[in-house]
Order: sequence, then C-alpha cells, then structure tokens
Amino acid sequence: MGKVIVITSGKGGVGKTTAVANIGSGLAKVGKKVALIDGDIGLRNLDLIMGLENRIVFDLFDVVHKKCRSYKQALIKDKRFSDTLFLLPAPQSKEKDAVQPEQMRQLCEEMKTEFDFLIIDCPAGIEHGFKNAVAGADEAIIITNPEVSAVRDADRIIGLLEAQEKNNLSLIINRYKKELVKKGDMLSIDDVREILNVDLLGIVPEDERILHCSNKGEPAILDQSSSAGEAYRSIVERIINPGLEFNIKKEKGFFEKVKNFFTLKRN
Amino acid sequence: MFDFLKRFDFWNKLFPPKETTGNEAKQRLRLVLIHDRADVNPEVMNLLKVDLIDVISKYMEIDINAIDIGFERKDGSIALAANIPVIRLRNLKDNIQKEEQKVEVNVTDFSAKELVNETMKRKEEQAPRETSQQTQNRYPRRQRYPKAQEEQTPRKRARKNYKKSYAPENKSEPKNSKKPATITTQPARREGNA
Repeated sequence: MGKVIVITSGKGGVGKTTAVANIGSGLAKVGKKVALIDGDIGLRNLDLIMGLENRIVFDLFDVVHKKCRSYKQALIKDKRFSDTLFLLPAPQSKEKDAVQPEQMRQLCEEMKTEFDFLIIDCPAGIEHGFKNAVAGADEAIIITNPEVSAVRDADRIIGLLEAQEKNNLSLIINRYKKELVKKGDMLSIDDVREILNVDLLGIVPEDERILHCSNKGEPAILDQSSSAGEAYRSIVERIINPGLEFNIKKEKGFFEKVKNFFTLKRN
Repeated sequence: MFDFLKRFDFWNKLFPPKETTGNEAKQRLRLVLIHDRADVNPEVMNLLKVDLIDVISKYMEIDINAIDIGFERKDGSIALAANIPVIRLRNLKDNIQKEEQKVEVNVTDFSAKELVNETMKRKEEQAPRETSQQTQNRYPRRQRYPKAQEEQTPRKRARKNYKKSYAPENKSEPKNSKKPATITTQPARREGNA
C-alpha cells in the first residue's frame, strides 16, 4: 500500500514542479516504485522538467474519463530509472474543472496498490485545481520561499489543508540564500518556521544549476555539482527515514575569520 | 594592498547595521496573518462575540445588536477592540461595578485553531456544578493513616495472641488512655498456654 504525497504551495513559481521531479527521482533511485502525477491541467510542466514531453500518448483526463483502458496505458516509464519511475501527464487542452476531486480520489486509491509513492504536483491557487490534487492525498509537502507573498499564501494553504483534515504536513523552504539571511535581508529558517508552525522537511538553496537541468530536461538530483540536488537528496533520505536529524554544516568561527583576514591569499 | 580594500566588507559582516529588512518582513507578515486568519474563520469571531456577550451581560445590560468587535492596527502592533454600548449596570449582591465601557485586549500572536480550542475549553468548564453528595461518591472516605500490613511471623503471631489474652475484659476503654501497668491475674490460662 503506497503513500500519496501532494506537493503544494499556494503561490506559483516557488518550485513545486521542480520538487516533484527531484523528490520522485530521488525515491526511484533508491529503489522505491514511484508514480508522478501532474495535477496542473491546462498548464502541464512536469513532463517538460522530466524531459519526457515527447512521449505523451494519453493523459490524466483520458484515464479519468475512460478514454483509455487503464492508467497503465497512460503512464510513461522513465528509462533513466530501471522500472521504478513513471509519469502520468496532465492534459494541455482542457481546463481545471475537466476532472473532479472524487475521480482523483478514486484514481489515487487504485494506483496506491501498485506503487510505493504517488507524488502529485498541485497547481498554484486554491480553487478547483487545488481541490483535485489534494483529494486523494495522505500527506502534503508545502513548498515556500523565504519571502512575504510566498509565506502568506503558504499559510492560507495550510489553513485549507487542515480544514480538509489533512494533518500530515511538512515544509520545504526553497530558493534559500544564506548570504542574504546573514545580512538580515531575507526571512530566516526560524522566522518562517515560527510563522507557519509546520514541521520542517528540508531547505533547498538557490542554485543556478536548476536552470541548466530544466533546460536539459534532467532532474537536478542526478547532477552531482548541484547544491539544490544535494539538498533534495537529503530530503529524500528524510522522507524514507522520518526521524533523521538535520545535518547543519558548522559555521566558521570568529578566530578563523580573523586568521583569514591576516593571511595573504596567493592567487 | 588592494586586497585590504576588498576585505573592508569584513567589518560590515562583523558589525552589521541594525536596520534589516528581514525583521520588517517578519513583523509585517505576523500582522497580516492575524487579519487573514480571522477573515478566513469568521466562526471564531462569532464564538468570541457570543462569549464576550455572556460574560459582560453578567455585570451590565448591553445592546447586543450594536456590538462592534474587530482588529485595530496601532504603530506596528495589533489590538482586538470591542465597542459595546451599555444600557445599565446590574445590581449584584456583592456590588461589583465595572466602569470601563470599552474592552481592549492586546492580541499579539494566536492561531484561529488555538482560539477555538480555548473557547471549547471554557464551554466545558461551564458545565453544571456537582453537588457535595456526588463529590463524596466520587471520593469515598478512606482511613487517613491506614495501618501498615505487618509481617505475620510465627513469633509475632504468638505475641499478638499473648497480648489478646492479656488484655482487660473491659474493651470500651479508649485506646489512648493512660493506665498504670497492672497485671490482671489469670494464671489458669497462662498455665494452660505453657
């Protein structure tokens, strides 16, 4: 019996699709059987980020309205992972109300039996698309940026999730910039945790490599030189072992800074 | 030498200026979320209104239809302000009189969920009081200093029996009364036991 996780945020552009792609790929890499479901009907992007946009035949609409035999026909197998990662794309030419929450719930129940993890990419907003994506979910991961609008919208989404009795919530802070936080120009991790009051799952730093990876259609978790990829790897570890402690790198002490000031750097 | 100028930033890092936009963002978010959460949960405000009416009506007669409760923003902090028109003060037996007609409560941080929980708790506390008989039934009387169970070794048992046989016939005497140690002779029984 698998777990259904929805990745939501409220605000658009905070990194949901990227998170779905990376977390799904990470779980598949360690051997779990994972299916990614793109819930963004009309504005599909998960296929593009995963690099599977050329292989779409059937999509979520077809599955739900029985235009194909079953979801197995619509699932796209990702060849980079040996039979462990599948994608169910969203239709591009329909609107959010083409699918109903009850249908999504039934689909999740059906797919749960075959997969270890079902990861649903939630669209931005709080309307029909959100209701669809959240209907079949057991757990929710909320993505936010350390920025006022993102945190405000995340708070609203948390309220809506709690109202729907989805109480298994965790938080990922995305596009985190350590230098700005040190200067005091960005909300810190503790600030965001205090305001939102949800368990922290992980922190993903701002990384240029994300752009390169989406250009190529490869999840960043497969890129060894990406700091965001490394963050996603540790997030995946925490999903598999929920009690794992945070691995915070030790900051340079004051005396080390003084030492660096006085030593000559030879370039 | 020009390295030194580049390292000047190091001092800014050591002694950063106090004015940070990060703190400002945090304060603004806190305030805006109080408003947002209250707007999203109008039931909480209604529950609060009902409870306030209950409490205040105990001390004075108020115009329920003209009550106005809401959040007020003052200089970076937020306050819950209520404007409650009073018709007259009630005459209580112990003559409690409240002079304030405007109730101001400072709300700095809360979540709608906590407020609902508190209201529910208060409602439970207002459950009918139980009578003294009910309380006594719940907590039956027990001995204040229950006697400790002594180990019944054969020696102790014999001693006890010896004491029993030795006790005076008049058992109505109070335990703590001091009597001189008298030997009541019942030699026949003693010989029997030996």
